[in-house]
Amino acid sequence: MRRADIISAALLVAFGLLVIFVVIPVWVPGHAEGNYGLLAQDAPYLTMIVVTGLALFLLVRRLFFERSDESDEDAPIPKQSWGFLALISVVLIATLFLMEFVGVLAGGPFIVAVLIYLMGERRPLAIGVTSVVAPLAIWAFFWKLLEFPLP
Amino acid sequence: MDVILAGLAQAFTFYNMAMISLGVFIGIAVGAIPGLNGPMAISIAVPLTFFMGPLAAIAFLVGINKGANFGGAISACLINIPGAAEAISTTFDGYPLTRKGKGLKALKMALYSSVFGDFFSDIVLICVAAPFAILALTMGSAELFALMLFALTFIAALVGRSVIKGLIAAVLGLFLSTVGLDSEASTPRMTFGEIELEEGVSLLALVIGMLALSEILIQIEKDWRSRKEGAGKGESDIYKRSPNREDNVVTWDEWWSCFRTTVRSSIIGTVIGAIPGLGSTLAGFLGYGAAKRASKTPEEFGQGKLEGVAAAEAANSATVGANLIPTLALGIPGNLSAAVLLGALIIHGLSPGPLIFQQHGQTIYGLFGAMLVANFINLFIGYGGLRFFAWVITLPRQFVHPVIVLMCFCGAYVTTQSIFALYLMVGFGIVGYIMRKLDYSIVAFIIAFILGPMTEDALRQTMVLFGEQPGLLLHRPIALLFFALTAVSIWRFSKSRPAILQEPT
Repeated sequence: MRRADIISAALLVAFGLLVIFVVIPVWVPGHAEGNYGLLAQDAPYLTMIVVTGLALFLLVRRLFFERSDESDEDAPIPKQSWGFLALISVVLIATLFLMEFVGVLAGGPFIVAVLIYLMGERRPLAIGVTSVVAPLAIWAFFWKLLEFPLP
Repeated sequence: MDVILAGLAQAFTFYNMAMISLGVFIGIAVGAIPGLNGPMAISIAVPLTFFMGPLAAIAFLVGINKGANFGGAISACLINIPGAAEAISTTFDGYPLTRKGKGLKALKMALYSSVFGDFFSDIVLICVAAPFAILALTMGSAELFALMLFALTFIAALVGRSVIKGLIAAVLGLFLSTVGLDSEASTPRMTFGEIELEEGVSLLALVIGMLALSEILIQIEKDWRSRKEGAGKGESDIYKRSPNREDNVVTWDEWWSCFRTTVRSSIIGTVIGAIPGLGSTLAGFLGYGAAKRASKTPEEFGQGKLEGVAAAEAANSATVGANLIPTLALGIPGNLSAAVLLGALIIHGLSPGPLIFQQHGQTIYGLFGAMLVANFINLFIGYGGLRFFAWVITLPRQFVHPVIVLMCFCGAYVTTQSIFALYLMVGFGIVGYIMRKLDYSIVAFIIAFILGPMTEDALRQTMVLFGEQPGLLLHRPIALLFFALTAVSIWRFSKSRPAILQEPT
């Protein structure tokens, strides 16, 4: 966990600095009329300075005060997990595109079928039936029963 | 008194009771499935409440919460896998009882003690919340800001394994809550030109993504990796009914012999539940530990002792009502379920905090009535459906989890009718996955996000009042007390913490 803490803290420091010096000055007006007590920028600045400070503290502490001889074999996110994360991100983004440009009746069966397959099911009939029936049932429940339109 | 009676009576309408029953049923079924839990079920169910009135909606969600709390005990007793973290201590004696062929007896004791503990804490909630809110009304903005600060640091320091990472997660949650129009001058903040962000980050997209989607992704990954590594699925014991009648029922004598333990655990659970951040897992462990210490035969605990099941279940269920004491009276959620319920209250036009009893008294007493009714419904549905819920836990999760992911998509969409919410939900799902893996508490993050606007408003008012003369703060002893408690809690918990306080994030 030590190495993961160092990397995550360093990324948080970088993120904090980016937000403090780029995002907030550009995307939050500083002297809008009508602010009383606190400017609109104050809360974002205050919170992000605290985050950056805490992340810096974590980084320094892990780097210089908690040296450990233990190996980092049990990394919190091993290589296989990064592979899974990349794969699942692609699946989720593909689902988003399908939902946005075609609809839930395309995106739904796609994501259900892919996830069932990823979880180890290999019977085509079981995958096919579940990935068609479940999205249809959910679509009918939301759109026909509750009258909430879905994409 | 008229408001109280009218509110309580509202809970007894057929429609509200039907919604509570539906909620309890869904809650038990979801809670029974390992890997799924109450907060996740509530977050996905919130969009379903948009067509309901405020009371029916909140009663439905409370029903899910109560049902899920007991549901966790079903898989804990039958297959030694707690449906949720709070049921870990139920496995200690529940599963050994099942191994002895007394699974049904263990489940029934879990149900009775769970309902008792829950009912006990609901009564305490009803008696304490309103006076607590009146007391809170005497607090000014400085006291409120100091209290928020204390609650956030306390929660951040308690959850997870690292105080610093808990604090980072909480402050990131506060930061994210500043996105959108500033409440004072409607200045757009970090909206990046997106109209959808002007109202802020969608609470439901965030909660569904971080709570439900990220957890399901972790479950899917486990199966994906075990398949790749060639590991077989673990065998689970099959629930069977014993031919001996006494193995399947809890007799009056058995119930009475556990009564002292049940009451003791209910008190422990209620106290723990009322303190934000401590959680039902801790309550379960403390209730179980206290029962073992008080027993004349402590060596029998862990071997299949009915008293152990009663102690754990009464304690963890007694946190359910008590969690709502700070939620309703102060607007500070005690745990994740309470945080999601708080979000649901806001969505349905109720603003939790000291004024809620004045502004929405009838609805709140209706909610109290619904909570009491939900306990009895939990008892009846739980008792009548034990065999069904025992079957539910055998459903293959490779079919259940993907369908839940699709429900996450649909739930996030119907909130805002915008594809943008789906992108947010997926983004938060991936961020939540990484935060869970790296032990940055999503509990602290979500609670801070919900409390963010209230904290900023309190800080703004404090700055208006004391900005030019900060010395005047020295005349506000309650605020000073909470500031001091904030510092002490950070210092104390960063030194050392009992391992039992380290809840899964």
